[in-house]
Amino acid sequence: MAAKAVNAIDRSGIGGDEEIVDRFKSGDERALRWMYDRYGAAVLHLAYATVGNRYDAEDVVQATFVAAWQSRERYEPDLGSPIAWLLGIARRKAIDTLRLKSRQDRVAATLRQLDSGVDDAEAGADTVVDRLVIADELSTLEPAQRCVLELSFFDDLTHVQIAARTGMPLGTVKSHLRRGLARLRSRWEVDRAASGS
Amino acid sequence: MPHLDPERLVLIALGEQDPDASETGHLRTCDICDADLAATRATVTIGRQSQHVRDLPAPSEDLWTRIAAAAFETPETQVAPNDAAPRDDAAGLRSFTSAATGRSRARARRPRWRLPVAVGAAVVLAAVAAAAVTWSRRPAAERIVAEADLVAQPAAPAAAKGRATIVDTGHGLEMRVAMSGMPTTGGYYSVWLYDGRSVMVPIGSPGSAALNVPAAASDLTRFSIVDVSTQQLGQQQHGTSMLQGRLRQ
Repeated sequence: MAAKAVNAIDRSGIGGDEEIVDRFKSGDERALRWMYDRYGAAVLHLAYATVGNRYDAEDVVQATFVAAWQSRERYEPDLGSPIAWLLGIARRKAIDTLRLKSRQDRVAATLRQLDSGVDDAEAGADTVVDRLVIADELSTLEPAQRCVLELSFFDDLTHVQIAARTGMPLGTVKSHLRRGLARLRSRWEVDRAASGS
Repeated sequence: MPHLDPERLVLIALGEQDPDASETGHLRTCDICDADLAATRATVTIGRQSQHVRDLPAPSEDLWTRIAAAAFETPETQVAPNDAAPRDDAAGLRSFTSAATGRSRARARRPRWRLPVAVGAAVVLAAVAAAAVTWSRRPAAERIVAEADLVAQPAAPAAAKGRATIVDTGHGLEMRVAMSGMPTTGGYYSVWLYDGRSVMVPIGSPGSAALNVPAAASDLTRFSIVDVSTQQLGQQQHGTSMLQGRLRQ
């Protein structure tokens, strides 16, 4: 698939991440800590959004990082980014927790989720994963692309307004928008498959 | 007409510009451009939504400590290739819910926490004072091994709170629970240790006496949540959660 090739080429430019992944796979404990610092907030957000309470969410985060460590040799960076891989694990752990509770009906705090159903929770988790993956990729874009996309996405500026605000020529703004969006899209398409959503 | 200009397609996907008549006609017949525009639009939608997840709070250092303990201190030989946790969960569930297996799914979903919680005077339990008295007389060998601040669950009044303290007496663990702002209950309150997944262990009724923590539940890394429920007389299973808190060791 074409998007995969584009994505693999793009990621080689990130530099430090690749070394972290190598260390992680070879069993360097510091690499897991680095991944916790880098992706822990995203994993916690997904867990909380899915299971609906802090205690279960923290348990999902713990189960996710422990499972990631135990299966580190099976992680294939070419098939998806570390965040997509972790979120894929977290998504399954969170859904397992909800399923267990729907059979078990023990804790009142999750009844709201149970009423709306585990299926809804799965669909909701997919949306949250998508947002987290895109937010992470946006943060790794080269600064000019990132700046232009953030002004467009979050400040709702047109390309003409972005050019006026930043002093970049119109053509440059349009080119950054196109390249930045293409990169977000290819990353999203690859990671979507990788996280099992 | 040729395919859409890539930069034009991006501006259309961003909603800045609309396709003109010939572009609209082309999009109707060209699957490539149509799919390209749809995928770019979807990326824009998710990109805009990513604003909600930009500056997320970092998880706690405590949580990392738990992860490191579980990931690094487990002998590799004990780590089953496909993660032994689900089997443990299933076993725990069986042992704990054997009394409840006959319940229908519909009934299981009913929000039982809308119990008739007696309205009116919130009772500040004498446990606070009693625990303090017991406390001052404790033998020197005792030491506090864990504490939890208990916070109100949805079924409890917002002002309800409590504190659980676990003490190593030198011959086993004891738990003391102080609560305030709790409503009167037609049944009674019960304290549980919960592993956050499937197993809840009843510890006893909060009051002036210290509660024995069974040796089987003394792994407070696993049983790290203290739960206080309301129970109906004769009810064997966990009732309605009123307070919960995580133990700090």
